[in-house]
Amino acid sequence: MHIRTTAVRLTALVLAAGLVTASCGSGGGTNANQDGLGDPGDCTVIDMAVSSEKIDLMTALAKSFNGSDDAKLGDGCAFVRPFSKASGGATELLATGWPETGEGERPVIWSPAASSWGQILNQRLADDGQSALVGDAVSFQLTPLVIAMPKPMADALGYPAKPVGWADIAKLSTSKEGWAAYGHPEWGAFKLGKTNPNFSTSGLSALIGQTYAAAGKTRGLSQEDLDNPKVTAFAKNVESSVVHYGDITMNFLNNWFRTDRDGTSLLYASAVAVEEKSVIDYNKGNPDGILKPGETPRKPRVPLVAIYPKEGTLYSDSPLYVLNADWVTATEEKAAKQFIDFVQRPSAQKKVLEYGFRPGNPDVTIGAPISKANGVDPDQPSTLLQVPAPPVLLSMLQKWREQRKGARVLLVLDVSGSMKEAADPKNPSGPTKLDLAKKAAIEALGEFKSDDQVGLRIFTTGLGSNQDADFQDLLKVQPMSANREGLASKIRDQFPQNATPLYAVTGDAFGDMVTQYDPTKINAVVLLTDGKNDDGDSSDDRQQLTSLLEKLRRGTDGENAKSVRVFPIAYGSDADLNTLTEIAEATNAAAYDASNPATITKVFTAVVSNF
Amino acid sequence: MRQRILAIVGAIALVVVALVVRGIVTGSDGASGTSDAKPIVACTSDLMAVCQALADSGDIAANPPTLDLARAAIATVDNRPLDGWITWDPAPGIANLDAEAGGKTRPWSTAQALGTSPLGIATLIGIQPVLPSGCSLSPVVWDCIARAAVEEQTPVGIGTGTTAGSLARLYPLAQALVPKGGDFRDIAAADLKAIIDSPNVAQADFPNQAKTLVTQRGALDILVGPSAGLNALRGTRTAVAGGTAEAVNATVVLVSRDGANIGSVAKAATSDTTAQALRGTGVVPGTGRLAPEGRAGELYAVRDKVDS
Repeated sequence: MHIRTTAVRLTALVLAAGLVTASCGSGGGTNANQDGLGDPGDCTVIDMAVSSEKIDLMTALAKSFNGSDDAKLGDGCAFVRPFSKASGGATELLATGWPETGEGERPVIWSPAASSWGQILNQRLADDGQSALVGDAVSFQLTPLVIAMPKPMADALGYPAKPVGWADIAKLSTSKEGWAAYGHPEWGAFKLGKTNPNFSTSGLSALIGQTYAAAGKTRGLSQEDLDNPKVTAFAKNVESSVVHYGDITMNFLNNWFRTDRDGTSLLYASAVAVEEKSVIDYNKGNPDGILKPGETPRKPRVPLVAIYPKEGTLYSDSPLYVLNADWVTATEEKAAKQFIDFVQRPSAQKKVLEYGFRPGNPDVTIGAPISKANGVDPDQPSTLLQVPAPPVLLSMLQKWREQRKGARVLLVLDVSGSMKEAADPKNPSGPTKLDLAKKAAIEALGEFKSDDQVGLRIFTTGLGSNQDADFQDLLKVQPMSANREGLASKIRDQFPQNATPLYAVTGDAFGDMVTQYDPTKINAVVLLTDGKNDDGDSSDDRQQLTSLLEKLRRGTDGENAKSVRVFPIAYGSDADLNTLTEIAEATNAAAYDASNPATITKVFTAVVSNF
Repeated sequence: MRQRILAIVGAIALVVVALVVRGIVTGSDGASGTSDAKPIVACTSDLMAVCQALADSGDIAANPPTLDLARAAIATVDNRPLDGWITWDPAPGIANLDAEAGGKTRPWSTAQALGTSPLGIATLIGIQPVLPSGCSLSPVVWDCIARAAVEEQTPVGIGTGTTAGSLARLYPLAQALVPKGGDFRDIAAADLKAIIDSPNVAQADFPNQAKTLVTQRGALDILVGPSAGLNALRGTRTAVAGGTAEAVNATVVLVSRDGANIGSVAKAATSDTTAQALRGTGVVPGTGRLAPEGRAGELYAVRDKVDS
């Protein structure tokens, strides 16, 4: 009973975390991607929620299907309309009946990144006494988890002649010599990028892979294995080299790609756990796999190599579920099945291959772009790992919370006058923007472990006894075991005040964190602001920003840099997301979009997923 | 009043007589037939294409049900008595043994072969399966495949060891595990389970495992199945079929429920469309003969050990 309760709680955690991903601007967003799909007219519309990495492919397939003979449905027609929804977020929404809260239309077809999400959904529903929403599904495409590594580094390790796996990553992670042991002191220490396994399919697959490697198994991972001190030590070794976590792999890939331009990509990260498809996209010059209008692919100066871990790996299998939901009509079900038949045909499967996925139809032979020219090997992987039993999986996630690299974070909270505005302009007497921000910040504190170090700084003009300070440190950065209650209390006490000296405060916060840098932790500033820089003198704003960006980049670049990441949250519609993105990128971090104040809790939790 | 009661009783009697006569005329017990009296024939799930071809040509009742060993000792599906079953040899014999063990009459009569193929293996180019010392893949020695799974944990696709199709594929490996001087009842259950558990993905029927072999590289190192089906997987990178030194056949059979007349189905099974469906399951239509009588008992013992 206890195990079951714990499992349910952990499942809920996984799912709640996944929900956050759904709301983040840069990743599994909720925006319907209907570009070019046109008007469905009188056709039966099949809304389809798909994980973000395949939204472009599914849109292309829908375009081919809609209006074709394959879409004829009796006297009518079917019209497929895909939209991007992160797997975890969709799981949570489906488990709660997909409330109509602007999260996209209720889908007829659901295609998460991996079928494990379908199992989690059914388990969650069963725990609530409800019937299953998904049954057997067609896996129409696959992509294995790999360790992406810049080619010069893979060459230095002797890959592929010498197999490389998680054991090598663990060894490199704790090597005092770092890359000097391989003749490249200029690359500094080994740095690993991994997404948070509570949010991301890649992160979860990587965690399973490294745990099997630690246990020396490829199957039958048990609770005893997880409790083995050697397995724990292995995990801590791997985690010790992590640059930061996060909710989506594309943050790593975008940062890698941007630093590639100025030749510093080898210093940002040595390896990142991603899906094979991402390596292909990156090497083709499209790091996030989504070409925006006007965006032209540019091949990187330093390509990536996909390392298939020698201990084995897992596939993301992209199941296509027709939901057994009460909102799905018999006609919609029939139309959905027609589309699913369509995407399995060789012509559609060739398109799957074009987009860098492995076809699910064995009649379509794997070929370009899955080729060594793009850094991947169609003859790999050689070993597939067994997905652990759900209780073991949940226990693994629980243990990861303690094994992950610790964090040292300064929360910098904007308490300027504009934060007193109503969060929802249609409800002027409702909560203010600051009310919601405080609630979100307090809730996010629960995600920090007790030895994470967190401090609180507020900023606005006119602070202090002389009313001349731009910020105030309310709690210094110290372990959460001592700070947790105080942080919540101090955040709760805040009220809106004056102007927004954004640039000066960001620079100071960054500088202070660099001064106190702790190499054993992820060092970061979380900056929440609802506005643009406003320090009373707009004439020098551009110069201030330039100086700030230079300062941030100087602190971040170089093999001996003290990497402090700045994660800004653009809060409310007036926040300057573009500038905040520049600030984030200058420190190889990511900016988060909470332009809709109602999403701030989800976004705050997503930001904290980086630690 | 009395006349009315007599009239009602008489009417009921007429209905009963009519039903009995209909049963005699259609050659069934009156419960299985549809209005056009087409035989109800079930298939194991991996052979459903054969049933569907027969249903499409109107030779058996529409919507043929699936049936495998777990429910085959009672020749009914959803309370509909079956007239026939298309499955892998010697599943009908195993089902008869199940029925006897449950104190019931044997439901299935003698089977007839619809198609057969020698069993073989497929592997992936570029992945060298780990084999016991002294073993190679060409020619295939079943003892080597069995020991590769048991001793080296080499992932072998063989099915669950409990279904008709899987038992037909498992037979040569089980035979290789029979200790000297013993029989199938003496095989170590742990060895059989080690074969079934050898892949890190769940065992499945042959069509699904053929797909897995090709699309999920690393999931299976060796796939056991009908050679004709394996040959369809042959490709430049993905799979090759290997011949075996010791020929063992997998045979698709049609069997009637004891007393049912399905002669028309046997004849229809030679049609082009059904033959094509049979080819799709990996056998050569119109060939094959039944395994020796003792095979059902041997695989009955194997299934019990896998299930234990």
